[in-house]
Amino acid sequence: MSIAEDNAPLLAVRDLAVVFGRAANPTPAVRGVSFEMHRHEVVALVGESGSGKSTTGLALLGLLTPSTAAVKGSINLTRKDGTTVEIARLPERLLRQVRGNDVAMVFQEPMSSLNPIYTIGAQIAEALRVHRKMSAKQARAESLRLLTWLEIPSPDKCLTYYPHQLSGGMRQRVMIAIALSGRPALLIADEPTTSLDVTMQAQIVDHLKALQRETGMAILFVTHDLGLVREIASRVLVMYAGQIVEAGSVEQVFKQPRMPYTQALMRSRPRLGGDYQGGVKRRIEAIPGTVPNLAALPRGCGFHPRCPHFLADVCDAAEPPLEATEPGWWVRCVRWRELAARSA
Amino acid sequence: MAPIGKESDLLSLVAKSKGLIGLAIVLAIVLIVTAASVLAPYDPTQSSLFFLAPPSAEHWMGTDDLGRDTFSRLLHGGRSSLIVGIGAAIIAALIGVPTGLAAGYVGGKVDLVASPVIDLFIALPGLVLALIITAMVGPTLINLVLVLGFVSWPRVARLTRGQALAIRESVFVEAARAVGAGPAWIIHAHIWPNTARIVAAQFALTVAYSIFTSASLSFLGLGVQPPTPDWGAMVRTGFDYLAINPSMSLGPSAAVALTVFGFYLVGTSIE
Amino acid sequence: MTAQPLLKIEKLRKFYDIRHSVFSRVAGQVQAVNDVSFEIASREVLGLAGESGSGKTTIGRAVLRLVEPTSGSVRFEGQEVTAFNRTELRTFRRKAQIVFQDPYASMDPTMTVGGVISEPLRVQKLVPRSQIPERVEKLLADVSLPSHFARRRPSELSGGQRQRVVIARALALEPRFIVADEPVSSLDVSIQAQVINLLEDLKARLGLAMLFISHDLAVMEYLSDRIAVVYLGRLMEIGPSREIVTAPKHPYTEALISAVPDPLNGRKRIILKGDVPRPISPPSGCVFRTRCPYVVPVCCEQVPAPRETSPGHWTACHRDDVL
Repeated sequence: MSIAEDNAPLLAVRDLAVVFGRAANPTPAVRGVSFEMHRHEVVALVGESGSGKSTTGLALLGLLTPSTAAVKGSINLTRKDGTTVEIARLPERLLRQVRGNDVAMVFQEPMSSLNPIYTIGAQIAEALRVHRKMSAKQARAESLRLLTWLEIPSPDKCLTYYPHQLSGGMRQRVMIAIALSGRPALLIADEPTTSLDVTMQAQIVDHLKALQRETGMAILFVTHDLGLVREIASRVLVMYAGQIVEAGSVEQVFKQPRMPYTQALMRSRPRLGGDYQGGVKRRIEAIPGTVPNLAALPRGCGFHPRCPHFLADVCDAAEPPLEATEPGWWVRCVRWRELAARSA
Repeated sequence: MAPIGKESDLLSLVAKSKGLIGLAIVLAIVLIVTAASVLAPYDPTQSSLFFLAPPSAEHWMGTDDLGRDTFSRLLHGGRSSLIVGIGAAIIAALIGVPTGLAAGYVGGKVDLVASPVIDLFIALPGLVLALIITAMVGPTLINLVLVLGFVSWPRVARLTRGQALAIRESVFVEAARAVGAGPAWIIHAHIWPNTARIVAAQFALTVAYSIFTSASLSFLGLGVQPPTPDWGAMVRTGFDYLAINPSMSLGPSAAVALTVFGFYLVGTSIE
Repeated sequence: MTAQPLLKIEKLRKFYDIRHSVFSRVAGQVQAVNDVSFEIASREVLGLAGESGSGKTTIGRAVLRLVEPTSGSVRFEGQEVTAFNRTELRTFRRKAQIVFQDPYASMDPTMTVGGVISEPLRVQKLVPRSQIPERVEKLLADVSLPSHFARRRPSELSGGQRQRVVIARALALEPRFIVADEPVSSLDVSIQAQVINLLEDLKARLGLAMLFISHDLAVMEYLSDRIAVVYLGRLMEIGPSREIVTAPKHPYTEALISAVPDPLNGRKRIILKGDVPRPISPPSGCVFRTRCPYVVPVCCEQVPAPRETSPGHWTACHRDDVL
């Protein structure tokens, strides 16, 4: 089940912008996001609420309807047959062909994505037959294989269950099975394990990693959990107030983050077993203030009201651009150089 | 780029104005009816020789079969309708709300007894029940208020019970218990404020329903008796003369419809 | 000489009967909490860790008698809580309070913030009416919220602000002991840190004892002196926080800790197979045996009794020599 390797990007997003709300009172949820994804890659999109990470995920699947949001910019996806499509401009009819076959999504709440009146077996089979033209018999066999691979106990019984009879962890695995049924080249997972127990989360992350190794599928993992990012992703995009503020390899960004927001984020979580320095407990540093109101963003850098390194007339003058600190590592902070030099 | 959210703009505007329009209609009608004696150009019970006259400058809506001014009768006729409507809603609330609260909050045996009774009464067709009882006790104004109140209380009780049940299970009620609150506090501080809205909405709808039903009763002859002017009765008498003098029936019909509609708008917009 | 513990729970049980209808016979029991025992000293924070179905939330409520224990003893300041009459229970509630999991749900939407915070004072009639606004202002200041917030409604507040309001409410009666049920789980990471620091400060300043219920082990280790781990209604392990986290003795604790992702180091993960069994028919013997990598025959037969494997550290496992 492997897909031929290719050096061209699987997904190329350029200047994606999403605006919600009424014409008189627009809320820019995503403001100029650009990034690329290649096969075999696991990229994490990290942010808190209001960062725009979930909206970005939805936009990538063309799930934002014109009546709710205005989408600008380019989302170029390379399909399995080699053709490229522009998701932001594609009509619904063609989008439906792309969804499931080339890109699939797994959401946070499996209960709301599963139809309560159909059995699990029926729902997986339906997905399989839509995307892969199978007979009923073949679909059942493939469903069993998927469920077994995801380590669901008694998969044959599970096919006859209804969604409400399964636990949260099982439901989420069924969702993943359905998402994989069309063998997409790109999987977008939006907080897929947030509502699950931590031991279940570990199992599912394990499955996703194995899946990615075996099939070369790329994964865009949207989350707020930095530890999870470390577990599963090789690259990370940190979002704040609708923009990417730092992007690079997980190794680099987590070890020595260059954007003050990323630094503050790393310092604000207690670390299991690791908060002691010489027997004294480290005090976690909370980021003061709250996430900005997207409808009334501050001038200049979106993070400056909360930034410990804020410098008047520098940080609030103009919006900082995303700069390359070295190949593959981007930071959106006008002071990054002097701050990096200070701590060196 | 398509204009964003124009749909939702329009919808919320409609929702808000719905209630305001309803309120305006209701207030206008109440005021006019109360001031009927002042506003009406003629004595509604005074007959004259000019019967079945078409609308004219002297008689804005013409006259009825006994030569009485239809417009004046219309203005006065609203009185009994409103008294019955509002009175019945008050009775329904006085019986229904405490019953619903008790069944919903206390639950247990109280609910076990109250719920089937409530459900039974809801299952019985209101108009038929009202007809039968009114026929038995006689159609006076007081009786009509009581009968229609009696017919409407189960619906109020059921809704109140449902809401009380839901609130009882809410976390903030548990939080109140956690600080030592007893049933009395919980009912007055939490259950009632969260139920008041539903009760108010139901009150307006009960008024609408009662006015409509009492008009129907009057139409069938079991409503307020002559010579007191009453919309339903007016429609009935005017029915026979529909071809030659439509304003006799149409006037009061429209009045009933408008009043019911007004209260209905208020009721649904509160919810 | 050890002082009497503030809270002492012995063999606490909460079983729920399952009936198919109001009149039918009992078809089975959900053993939500089964023979749990632990102590909390004055000014101590005990973290209660567990996943879904562990019974941790039920324990928190049973300890305060918001849910009636099926059996077992709950002693607070030496007195048996399960035997309290209405008046004694009311007095008890002044000293033992709770912060619920969902701050928004635990506030009546028709009340103002001031009303929510002052409700305990008005219910208990401890403070004359005229002094209530002053007290509310002081409580708001304690949780770093401006005094004009008293006039706002819950729907106007952010997640972090709501959490502070419910904490202020819990402090209104000046309790000695607070059950905090997932107090930071619903918050954004940056706000979590603010509330965690607030809880630290309050703990130090007011000398509170706490039962800190959470599924988030990192936060729990940070705030708690000791940690108790529960699984399917039973206590698996209990001991000093640092020890539990760095040197767990129970296989479940070991798996739980290894499952917590760490941003700076990959952790060696022990992946447990399968799902948590349903609490309706828990496995015989040790309830964790169906997923335990170290299971042996005796685990199916006998429920392991907690043994003190090192001072203050108790483990309920037949194989506590393995780790």
